Amino acid sequence: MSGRKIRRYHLNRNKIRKRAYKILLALVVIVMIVFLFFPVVAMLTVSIKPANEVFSRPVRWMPSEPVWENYIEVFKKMDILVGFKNSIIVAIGSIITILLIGIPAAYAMSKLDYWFKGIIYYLVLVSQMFAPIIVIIPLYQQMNNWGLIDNHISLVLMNVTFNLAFIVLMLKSSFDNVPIEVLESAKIDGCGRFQALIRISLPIASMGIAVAIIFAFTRTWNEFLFAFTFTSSTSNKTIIVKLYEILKNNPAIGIPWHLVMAGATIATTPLVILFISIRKYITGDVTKGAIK
Amino acid sequence: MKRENIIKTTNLLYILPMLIFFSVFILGPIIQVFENSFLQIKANGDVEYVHFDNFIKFFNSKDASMVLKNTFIWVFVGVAAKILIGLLMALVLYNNFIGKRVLTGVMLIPYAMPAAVSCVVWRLMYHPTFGHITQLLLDLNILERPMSFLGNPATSLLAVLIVNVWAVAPFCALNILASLYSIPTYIYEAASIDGAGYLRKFFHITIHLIFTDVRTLALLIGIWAFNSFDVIYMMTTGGPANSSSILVNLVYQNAFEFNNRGYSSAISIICFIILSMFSVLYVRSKNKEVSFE
Repeated sequence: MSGRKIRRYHLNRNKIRKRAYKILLALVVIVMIVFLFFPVVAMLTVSIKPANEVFSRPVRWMPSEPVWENYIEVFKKMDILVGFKNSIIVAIGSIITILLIGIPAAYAMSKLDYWFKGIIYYLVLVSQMFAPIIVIIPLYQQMNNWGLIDNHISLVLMNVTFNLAFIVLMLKSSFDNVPIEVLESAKIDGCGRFQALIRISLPIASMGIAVAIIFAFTRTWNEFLFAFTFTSSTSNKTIIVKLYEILKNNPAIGIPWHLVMAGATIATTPLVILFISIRKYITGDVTKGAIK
Repeated sequence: MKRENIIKTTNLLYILPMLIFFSVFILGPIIQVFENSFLQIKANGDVEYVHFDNFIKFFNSKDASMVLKNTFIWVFVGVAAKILIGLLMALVLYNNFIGKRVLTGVMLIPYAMPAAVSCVVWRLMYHPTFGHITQLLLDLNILERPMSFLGNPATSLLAVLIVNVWAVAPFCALNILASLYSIPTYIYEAASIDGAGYLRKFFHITIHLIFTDVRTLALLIGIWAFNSFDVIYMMTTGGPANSSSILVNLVYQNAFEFNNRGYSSAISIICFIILSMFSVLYVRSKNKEVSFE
């Protein structure tokens, strides 16, 4: 082969290789999208199916015409609204308590010196490894003794306890970004330790705090174990428990799947919006201390 | 007392509320579970000290071998699947293609969905008569007649595990993607000049450099999996006949359904010991993480 031919041969081979790589990549992306979103699409399509098509065989992939009334009916029939309200009460109560306790703790862990500093750090780190289910019996008895069973306060207390470590580690890493020089110059200007936290560190760390609030919201919103075990009357149950109980309390054949899916979509929407809005931070600096 | 020491003591006040919460709701209860695990607690509240009977009873029960095996599969097979699928997705997302930013955004939906919602959706999809998966497998002639994936002891654990892998894999993918981006590109450029191909670069550079990060991630999601009571409970309640139960399901079942609180506490303690070992590994692994910056 002449030199020219060899060069063309190599060019072609590279081109073919690149094209094959692109096709392979596209295939993997398609498989990935199907794997990740098939259930989401199933939820959305079933939620707008007319009742008779939910129970038709073979399974219809798409509704013949969208029935948006399902979303109205789910509010009427399954008091989703009460569940929504309860979930919001528990979430807001938990977030406020977590921030009141967590911000000073995270600030101290990041910027101040105190006794047993190393031990306390490892205690916080390890405490999130232990699932609440291990200690559910003593916690149930404790709440029972305090008369807090079937009460939102017990859910708030539990959510605070089992999210505190995670949120504190997250807040700590955003306080770590506050330069110590700023605090020192504030001190020279006569600013006390607590004032330095309120006036200087909080504004600088505000983005990290916002992300922490969203994480805390998601985790309390999704919480199942305590919400399921500690509440008994329907007026106190969170939306997550209500959704599960539709399946649990109906005989297998009579589950109104189209309404359940409408409820499921309603329960998911706030979370998906919040989560996508902070996706940059999920693996970034802010969550570094907490997630990994 | 020196001024420094006074400051060190007053600074403890910032931490104090958190420590109170931890001691009242975690430390105290753990001690109580230890106590309970040596007791037999009757329904009327009478207690009897029974030494290690609860533990012996557990290891001799016919549930033990199955549940321990299930826990092992649930944690190790689950972590391997999540990491491998996550790695594959991360490698795909490391390329540039149209719609990549949108995909990285919305791929967190399975992870962001409440566990209850994903369980409800998957229960419909697995449904023997109206389920999408059943229909798909029938259409593809993989199944001859409809079957109940969740109601069959042979498939129940696998069916629930798929749901868990589906929910956690995107989280792994984004974490591994962040590790991939932390590798400086000049390393790859240098390797290309030396004549290394895709596969060589992947096995000799990428795998080595993301190893510590992935190990920490694997330990973390392993611990999560070990603790994940809710997915299994909402999908199958651990059944049929405990075929999809892991240790934490047994804890719940004995505590609230059979009212066997001493026995349940003993299983809690076994969980506690396993988790402690994992936690030590996790903390050590986290301390060894490296950065290329």
